[in-house]
Amino acid sequence: MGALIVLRRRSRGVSEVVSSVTMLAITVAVLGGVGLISIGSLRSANAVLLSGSQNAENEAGVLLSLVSTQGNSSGTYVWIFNYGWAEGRITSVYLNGGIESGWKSTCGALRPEQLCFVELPPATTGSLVVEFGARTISISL
Amino acid sequence: MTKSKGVSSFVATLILVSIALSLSYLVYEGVNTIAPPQQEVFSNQTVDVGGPQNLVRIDINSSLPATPLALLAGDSSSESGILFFNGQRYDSSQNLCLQNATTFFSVRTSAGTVRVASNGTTWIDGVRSNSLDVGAGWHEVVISDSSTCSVNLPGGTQAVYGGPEVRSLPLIGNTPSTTFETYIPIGVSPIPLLLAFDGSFDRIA
Repeated sequence: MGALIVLRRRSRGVSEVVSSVTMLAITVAVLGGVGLISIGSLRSANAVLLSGSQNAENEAGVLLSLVSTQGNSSGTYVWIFNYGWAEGRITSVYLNGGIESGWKSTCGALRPEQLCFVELPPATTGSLVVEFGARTISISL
Repeated sequence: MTKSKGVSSFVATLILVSIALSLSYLVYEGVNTIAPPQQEVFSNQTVDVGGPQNLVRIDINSSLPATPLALLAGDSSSESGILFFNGQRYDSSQNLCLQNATTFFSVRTSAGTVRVASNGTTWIDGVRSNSLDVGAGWHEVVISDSSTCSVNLPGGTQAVYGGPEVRSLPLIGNTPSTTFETYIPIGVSPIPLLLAFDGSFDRIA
């Protein structure tokens, strides 16, 4: 009889501990799940905002100036100088509002205080837009 | 005595449950206010590509894969038809091209050559040309100042308004996606442009 009482008491003690641990586990699981979802959302939002701010930084740091335009039988040349503090890379060239594919350039990366030219087919005329990431320069040929 | 202990254990468990639930709710509300799950954040970049029709290229980045549903330009919506800009305002029609206006829409193609026959100026995916080799997916066509036109897709299909291969929403790329690109004619005075997604919207200009 005495052994039975001891067993019943031990069993009740274990069930209280188990219920508390279960409750803790449920709480941690709920909070962890919510946290994971929110952290994922925060990370993706952070990546988009970071890329936006990097574009803005690039736009602020790449300052372009048209030095000259030249045209001869071998091509039309546009000389551009970067007087900013950030490096710029040509991402697109638009001629008369359309993407131009027949261009070449000496500037893979146009570093600060450097000059480069964009070469276009001979006798190219119209409005030219050279895009360096978020910064553009418009030239009338 | 045993009954009293049993009741107190039950009450203690109830208190623990209520504390756990309250804490979970508080944390969820707090986190949800800072960063609601499944809420997109958008980042836009606008490039004025110049030219006689004053097109702008708008690059849109979304933090989560999203499906655009409609473009709202001023008082007009791509849900009403093919959007066009006449230099003053946006409106919609059921024609792929119009005289004295610039229409812009997208077509779904397989890989091949898209050809546009018109008596105006044509852009395909931003390239000023009457034909362009493209990959499979949605591609944007802009037609300016053209009274007559036909858009021929790879495989010989002719795109017509209302057909499954024409979408009045002018976007390049597949959906859902996290990056989108569009070319839109704009005027001198700014007109609000708004891209509506499933569950959110992005003010793109």
